[in-house]
Amino acid sequence: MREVVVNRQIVPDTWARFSPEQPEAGGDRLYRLEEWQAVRAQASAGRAGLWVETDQDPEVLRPYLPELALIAIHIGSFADGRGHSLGRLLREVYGYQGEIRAVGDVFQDTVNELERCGFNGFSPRPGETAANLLRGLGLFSEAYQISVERPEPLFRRRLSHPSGG
Amino acid sequence: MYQYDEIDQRLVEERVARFRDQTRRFLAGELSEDDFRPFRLQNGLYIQRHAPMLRVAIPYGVLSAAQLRRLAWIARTHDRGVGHFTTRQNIQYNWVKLPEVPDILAALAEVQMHATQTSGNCVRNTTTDHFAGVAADELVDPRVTCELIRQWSTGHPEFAFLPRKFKIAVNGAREDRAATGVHDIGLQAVQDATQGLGYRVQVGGGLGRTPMVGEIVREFLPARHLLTYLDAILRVYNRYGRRDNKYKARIKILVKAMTVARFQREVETEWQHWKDGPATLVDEEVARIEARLKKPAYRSLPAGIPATLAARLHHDKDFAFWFRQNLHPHKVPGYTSVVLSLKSPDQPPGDASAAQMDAIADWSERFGFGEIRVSHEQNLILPDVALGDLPALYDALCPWGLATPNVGLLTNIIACPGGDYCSLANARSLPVAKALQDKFSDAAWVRALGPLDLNISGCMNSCGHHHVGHIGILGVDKHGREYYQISIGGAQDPARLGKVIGPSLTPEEVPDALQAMLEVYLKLRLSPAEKFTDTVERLGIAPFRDAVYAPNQEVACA
Repeated sequence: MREVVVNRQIVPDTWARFSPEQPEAGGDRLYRLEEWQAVRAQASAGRAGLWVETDQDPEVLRPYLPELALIAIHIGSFADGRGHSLGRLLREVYGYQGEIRAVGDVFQDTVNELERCGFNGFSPRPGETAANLLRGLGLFSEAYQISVERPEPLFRRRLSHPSGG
Repeated sequence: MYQYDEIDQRLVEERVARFRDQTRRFLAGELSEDDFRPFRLQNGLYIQRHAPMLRVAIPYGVLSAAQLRRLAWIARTHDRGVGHFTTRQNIQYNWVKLPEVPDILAALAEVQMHATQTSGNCVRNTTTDHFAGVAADELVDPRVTCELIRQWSTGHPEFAFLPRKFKIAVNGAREDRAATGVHDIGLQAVQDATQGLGYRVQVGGGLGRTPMVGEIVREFLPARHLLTYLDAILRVYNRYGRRDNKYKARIKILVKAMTVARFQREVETEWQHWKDGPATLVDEEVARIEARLKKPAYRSLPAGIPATLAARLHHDKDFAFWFRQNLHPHKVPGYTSVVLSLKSPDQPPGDASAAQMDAIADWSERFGFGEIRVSHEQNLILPDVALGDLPALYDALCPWGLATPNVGLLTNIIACPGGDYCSLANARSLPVAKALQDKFSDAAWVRALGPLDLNISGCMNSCGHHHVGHIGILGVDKHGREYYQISIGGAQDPARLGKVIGPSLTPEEVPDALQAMLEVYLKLRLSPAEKFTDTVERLGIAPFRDAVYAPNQEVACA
């Protein structure tokens, strides 16, 4: 089974794309929004996840968030930074608690910033390994800005530990 | 300069370590060229015509003597003994070797410097008034604001891959020496009687292919909201800026497409998520940064001109010209700021040799408090010189070619490196600059012209800021040959874009064209007090256009 990184652990990828031909198949299923809207009432056993693009309006997802164990944000090119904003919005504004997974053009050098923006799952692109992704995480011991990872800016920590300066 | 604490230091070192690893993997073939590109750009490294070019940030243009010596050392050790100061308060090295770049970044980190986000589609080095903190016309010292923005933007996780580059400028003086009108975000510090410090926020200015003056999105933003409001603007841009066409990807295009009113509403909506939240500034942080900006221990000096200086002014005409042209009024009595012109006829605009940099570092200690400024006009500045020291400083500068009395004049040419170095360029800038220096070698004539900004860019990217030059020259490529388009009437304060006077010219025609226009100006100006730009404003471009293009028609008729 393919390996992914979730919460800084290498784990098997249990998620498969939903297939309209086999709607009854069990297990963790990833749906496109229209698919989920169509089948959510009679969804089969197993967890549901949503596959979205980086330009997804999170407001549209609001009613479904409690039903979703995972939101996979498809990053077509790593230089498309919209997924970073979407991750933060889902966490900080919509309070989404499930897994946010980066899929698509994901490799060692892109995961550090994504994690700070609320992503906790990473699916390596072809040719990349989960072990490499782990190497790319947590590269910095501090950060100036607020983010999902650190909801307070560095200057507030400096205030509480003035010796650090 | 802001003095790092141990956290600032660690962060810059961790950044070097990351880039060292990326470079190693690139050289080992583990990271492809396409994947490596955005990361090297975000660490200042371009691949250029001859060699990689490294652009090092000089945050808000402030350097210590030790930092300038380190820049000299890099020029000597890793380049060909020269550095080029740019229009964005950076320094560029044109001959670095890729495998050495991590070592250069490590050497910079040792003196609290970096090349972070000097390129790439991210928030770039924040620029400001080169006389920040010392200018007599200053309302608010912008350096604290700049350092807050430097920290906020450094490694910002959400805005590492914006649609396009993003430039922020801050001004705190009456005169806008930071060109805030032509930046993605321009902040003008304002001191409000009841609300205290705040900013007038302008968004969507910029030069390049589609030059625009920014729109005011907020007349007064209380200072404590600075970072949350910037986050909101950047998020709207990150989410909605165009990514399908890099020529339409700057925030100015988004603001135009959305309209300012809708853009403001979107920003307000995003801002509500953060407003008054943890990133709202607190007085203690402002005070902490203020304390870490090294403050000179000024002596108490008499306000007037010391006798020795008066005597020198009386008997040395060249000294007097320099005194009149290259100084800027200081807020502390008895002191002045001195601009060291990097625009002598003998060197490309903005270039300084390693030896010059070392010498300037020494003078900054002898004639100041060990601080140097970099101006976006590509000169270096000793900000705190006692008036009585001016004769000695002048005598020291002259042998180094650093006392050319042309600051603010025609020959203070602002130019990008152009086609000699830059792979983006359509035409070369430096030979044109040189030809103009040679053509206008009569210093008295140049002085008679009064204040004139002459800006040269080698392509539409407009690094030479030709749109806001009183005279702007843009290099264009026509069927593989270099041509130059001339515009006039641009200005930086208040920001105004120049108008193109006619078809582009060959390199040989450019100096004569300028001469013809300037002679028309001398003839038509109402008095010597009417500046070139005022005459253009009053009469339009027609008389200047005719001066440049009419002679050829006469020849054709003859």
